[in-house]
Amino acid sequence: MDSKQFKAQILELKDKMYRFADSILCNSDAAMDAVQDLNLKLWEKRDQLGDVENIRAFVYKSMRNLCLDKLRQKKQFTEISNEVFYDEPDPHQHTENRDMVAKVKMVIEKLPELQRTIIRMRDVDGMEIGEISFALSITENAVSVNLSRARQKVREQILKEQKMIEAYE
Amino acid sequence: MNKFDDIIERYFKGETTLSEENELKKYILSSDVKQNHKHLIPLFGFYQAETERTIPEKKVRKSKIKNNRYVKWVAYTGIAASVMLAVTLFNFNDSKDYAVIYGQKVNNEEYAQKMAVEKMNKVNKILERNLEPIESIGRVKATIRTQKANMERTKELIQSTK
Repeated sequence: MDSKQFKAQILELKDKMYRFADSILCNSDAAMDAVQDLNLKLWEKRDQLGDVENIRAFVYKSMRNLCLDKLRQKKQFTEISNEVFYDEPDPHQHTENRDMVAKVKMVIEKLPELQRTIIRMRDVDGMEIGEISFALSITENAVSVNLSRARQKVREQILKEQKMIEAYE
Repeated sequence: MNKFDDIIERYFKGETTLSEENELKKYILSSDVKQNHKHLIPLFGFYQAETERTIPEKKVRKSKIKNNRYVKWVAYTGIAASVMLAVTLFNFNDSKDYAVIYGQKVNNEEYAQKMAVEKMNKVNKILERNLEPIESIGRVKATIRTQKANMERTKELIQSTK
C-alpha cells in the first residue's frame, strides 16, 4: 500500500477510529493517542496491508485490540459483566437531568464492552454484520444476538426513563 | 399498523438490514415521525450526533513546544541563523551591491528582499515540521527517565529485602 492509498483508506477513518477508541477507553485524550499509535503501527506495516481483503474491518479489529491492550496495561480492565446495572435516578437528579440524548449516551456507555462496541459499529458507523464479525473475531450469529440484546436494553431504559419523566410532569 | 412499526420491532430484534435502518433513522429524525415513535428521537439523535463527532485538534502540542527549552533554543537558533544568512546574502550596503538568486546576479533590491523573505518563511516552515519529531524525542526521553527511576527503585527494594 503506497502513501496515497494509505491516506485514502486508513487516515480517512481517523474520526471513526477516534469515536470507536473513545467508546472503549472512555477517555478522549487516550482515544486520540490510540488513533496516532494505530496509524503509526499500520504505516510501519503498510507493505502487508495490500493483501487485506476488508481494510475497514481490519482497521476496526486492530483498533479494538490496541485499546484492549491499553486498558490491560493500565490495569483498568475490569471483568465485564454480562449483566448491566443501572442507577435509579433520584427525583432531584431526575428533574435536573432531562436531556434524553445524554441519557441515551449514558445507557450505551454502561453496556458490556462487546455490546457497546457492536451497537456503535452498527448504529453509528453503519457496518455490515459480516464486517463486525470479522473485526471482533466472533460469528455473525453472535454479532446479531449481542446487537439485539444491546438494542433491547437501550430501549428498555429509554422507555423506563420516558415513563419517569411523564410521572414527574 | 404503520410500516415503521414493523421495522422498529425488527430493529430491536436485530433483524433489519442496513438500508431499512437508514430509512428508519431518517423517519425518526423527520417531522413526519408519529407520536408513538417520538421516544426514539433521542436514541437516533444520539447516533446522528455521534456520526458527526470528529477527532479534536491536538492543542497540547503547541503548549508543549512553548514549555520546552530545548525546542525553543533550536527554533530561535534556526530563525537567527536564517536571518543572518539572509542579511549576509542580501546586504546591499557593501561594495558588491548585488545578490545571487538561483545562480543569477540580481541588482533589484526589492526583488532580492522579497526572495529573502520567502526563503526565511520556507526555513520557518521546515523548522516547524522538524519540531514535531524533537517533541516526540523529548517525550521518549522523559519516559526513559521515568523507567530508569523505577528500575533504580526496584533495585533498591530488592537489595533492601536481601
